Amino acid sequence: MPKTPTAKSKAAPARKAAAGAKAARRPYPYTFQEIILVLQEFWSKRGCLIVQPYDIEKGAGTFNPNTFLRSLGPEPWSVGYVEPSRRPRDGRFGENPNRCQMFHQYQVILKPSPNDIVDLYLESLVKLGIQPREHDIRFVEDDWESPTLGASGLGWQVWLDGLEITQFTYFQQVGGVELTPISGEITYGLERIAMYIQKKESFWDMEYGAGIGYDEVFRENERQFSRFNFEAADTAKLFRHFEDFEGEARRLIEAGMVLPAYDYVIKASHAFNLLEARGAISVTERTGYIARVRGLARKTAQAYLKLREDLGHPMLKAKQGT
Amino acid sequence: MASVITKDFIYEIGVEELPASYIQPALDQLAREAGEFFRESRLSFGSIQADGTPRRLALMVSKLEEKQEAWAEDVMGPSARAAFDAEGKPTQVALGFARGKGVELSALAVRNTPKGDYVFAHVERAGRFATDLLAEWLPQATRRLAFPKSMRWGQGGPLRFARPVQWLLALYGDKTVRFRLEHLESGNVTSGHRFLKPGPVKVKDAASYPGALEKARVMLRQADRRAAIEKLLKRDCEKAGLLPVEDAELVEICANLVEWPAGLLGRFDPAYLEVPEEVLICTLKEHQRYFAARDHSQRLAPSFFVVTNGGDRNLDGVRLGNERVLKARLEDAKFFFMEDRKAALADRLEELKKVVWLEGWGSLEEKSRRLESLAGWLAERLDPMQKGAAARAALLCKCDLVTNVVGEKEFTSLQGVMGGIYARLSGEREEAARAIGEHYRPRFAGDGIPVSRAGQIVALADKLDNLVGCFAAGLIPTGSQDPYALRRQAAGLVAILREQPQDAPLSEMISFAAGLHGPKALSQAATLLPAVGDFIRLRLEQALLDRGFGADLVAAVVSRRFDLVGEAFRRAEALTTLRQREDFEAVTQAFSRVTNILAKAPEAGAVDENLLKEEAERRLHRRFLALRPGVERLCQAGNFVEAFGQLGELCGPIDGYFQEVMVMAEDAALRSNRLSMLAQVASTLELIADFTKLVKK
Repeated sequence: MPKTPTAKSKAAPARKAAAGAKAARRPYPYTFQEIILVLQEFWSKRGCLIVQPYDIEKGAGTFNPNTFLRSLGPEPWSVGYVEPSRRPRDGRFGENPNRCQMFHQYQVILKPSPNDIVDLYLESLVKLGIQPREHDIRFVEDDWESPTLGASGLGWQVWLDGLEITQFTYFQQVGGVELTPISGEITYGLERIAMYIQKKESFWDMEYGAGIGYDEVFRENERQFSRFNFEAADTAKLFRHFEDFEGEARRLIEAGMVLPAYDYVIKASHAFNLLEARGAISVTERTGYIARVRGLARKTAQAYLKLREDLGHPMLKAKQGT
Repeated sequence: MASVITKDFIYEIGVEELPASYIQPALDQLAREAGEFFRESRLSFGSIQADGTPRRLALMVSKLEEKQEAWAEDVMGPSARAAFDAEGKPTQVALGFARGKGVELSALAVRNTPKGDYVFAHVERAGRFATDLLAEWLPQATRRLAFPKSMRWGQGGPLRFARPVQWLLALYGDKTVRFRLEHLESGNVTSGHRFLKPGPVKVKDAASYPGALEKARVMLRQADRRAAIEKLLKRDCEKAGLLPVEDAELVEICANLVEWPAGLLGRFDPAYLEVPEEVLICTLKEHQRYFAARDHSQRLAPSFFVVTNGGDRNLDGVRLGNERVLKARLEDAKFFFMEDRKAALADRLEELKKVVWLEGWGSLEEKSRRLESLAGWLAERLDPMQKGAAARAALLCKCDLVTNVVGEKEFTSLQGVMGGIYARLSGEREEAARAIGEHYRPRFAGDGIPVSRAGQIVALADKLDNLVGCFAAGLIPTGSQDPYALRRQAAGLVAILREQPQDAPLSEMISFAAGLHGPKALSQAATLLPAVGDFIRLRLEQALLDRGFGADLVAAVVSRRFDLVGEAFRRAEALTTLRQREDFEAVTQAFSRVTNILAKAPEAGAVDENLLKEEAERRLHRRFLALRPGVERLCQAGNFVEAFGQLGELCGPIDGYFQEVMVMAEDAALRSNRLSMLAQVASTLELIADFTKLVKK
């Protein structure tokens, strides 16, 4: 059962409430959860598989095997999903209006990237009630790189009236492997889009859904995790975990179990992020740790390519989206 | 002769949004290669222009000839020995060659070449149509376009481009030049503005292309878009009683982010004006690409101008959106600034201990201590009054690197500037604060040097320390690789030294700066010091060339010594004046006889007067000794023209000397004494320049 909304979170939607239909009671078209529903439906109708978030802590939707692994090799793959993303260093104890250690991405992978991918994306904005003709939408160059994943791509940040709402990338390399075909990655920043649609200046003033504020759902989470990330996380244990995860990933790759191995790559990456937030890793050591995770990501990528080859690339025969 | 048929030609590459900085270089390449191609193809044309937007690169050629003229060429074939047998009859080789070239045997001729006798075929070629030649060249030229970073997309085909190519339009007159580039086929269709006029636009012929784009809400020319932005900016600011903060760089960036510039003025909460205006302007520009504005009393106004991509609906909504984004940015900036103010600038020295300056070469705190010593030492030589302020500023000038505003989160471009602001707020002396604020100057080619004397001294110290440290650490620039911008720093060093009223020897500065790096640098002093000196010499030469001095004159000034940078500039000026003098040739000629003979035997020692046997050599020596103190004084005073005039009096004695004295005497002692004396004479003239480097006009 949802808890009673706090006074603050109730304030915005409720006070402006007018009598009549539910949708008319609030001055904006979508709650946070409705934005997700719109995107799920939109991409589902365009032939995407809609999958669930991957159940391991990670910094971005790119870590989800549906992106990292599936973008490798010749097989097509079109998928959409929400990804709760954790960046321990970005925690602000719930005090900053738009910076959190946990936020949500809506991730779309279209492989190969279709010629009309930009148009498709703009269409999805229209579904969210953002008419390009009534806003200033810009594609601002952005060279994306994930040193831990050995991944890079070129594309844009998409600005909506000056606000960055999406990261749009044509992957060129993943796990150190040059890709063919190329995956188009669309990463919507859900909180920012919701903030824009709901005309709020802070995450904490947004409605999550069902009349309940984002504040109620996540603010205490931010407070506690910020304390954990910055102050309480046991660094000795985390260093040990990092070693263990790295070892386990290696062992599993050797043993021909690339999928469980990849879980441990993600875990190692998150342990590193926590150690960094705790200030336990110096600038010089940092490069070394990143290189270790990248080494694992490369090995995993190689092993995964081999796996799909051994399986006979079944997705080349399957026909998705028809 | 039949009149030549010409038509206009248009080629447009339609792309997804290009990075702003990629557009002009690609256009330059396209125009350059088109010119080369038309000339090689012997197709005449009126003009070639290339222009573009983030979504299209367009090549526009006027009056391009429709068809090549017929032409003939002689093609070299096999050697005559292989082509004809002993009786002079054509062999299979000759027959094959003629057949291959499509000519009769009678069209073959033997010619003598540097490689011997060879067979040539006289081949008549029909002229080809421009459209056919273009259909072959355009795909190649498109593939060849080079970008700082290029990518693949879709199936990941071999074509690489800055962003995915969406369409190709190629029109010669009203005729489509047809070709394929991977999955793309050229046509006569372009695309309108992504939002204002989305969708395909058919273009009737090349001449109507600009009009078609205009109608489709695309302003093709960069200059037009820049002008439009400047006009809108000025108009909107004027309406609000404001003056825009001019920024040509920002105009250029914005012009290459949109196809149809529009814009609007927004406001922010005046409460943010308590943040220094440098930080505000930087927030506006670097994060959001907004222009700042001032009121009529030159105070920063709580307003901004955003260039938009042509939209004219929901302007209040767009304004509100931008204002909200900016508010979050300014809130961050204000928070960082307020946090920074909590600590005095000097207290951050402790934090600098944790920041590595160069891997293996100590922390920023150690660098700060070195800069303090170096600036004090430099001040003693250049301007002792400034010693206190310069040393203090040098000690604190890196402290802003660990503040929130400059640190990794925000604005590296404000380094130094923020240090100056925080120094003032921390109660440091104005001279020191100002010096901190200026010490990175000149920041780019054409930027001014620090204005204050203390600022100049700190800037010199910082640049010297960077040069010596990087060279000692082996981080020496090669080719286009100069990650620490050492060339710019050396050029800055030269620019500052040039303006010093008092010269100090560069070699002593380098050596003192190296000493501060301790044994790690000193152990390699023998190679390190000359390497740094030479590196600076190259920048000095460049600075002289940039001032318009000829290459030979620069060599003459710098080749023997460049230790005093300001003096080198004065010598270059003097030499320019001297070259106009009537006696210039006579004097330099006389001295060149001296230097020529020294070149053969460059030994020099003390002169023993007892060994000066001949009257002519005694006369020269006497005159020389009488003149030398005066000449040296004049040179020290920077009066090189007068010094040269005085040395001119030695012309007669030198001529007499060479008539009567046999320099290369049998007697070794005599010979060596003569050479030593001549060397002294020559070295005095070299106080002005190495005249042998001058090329006669």
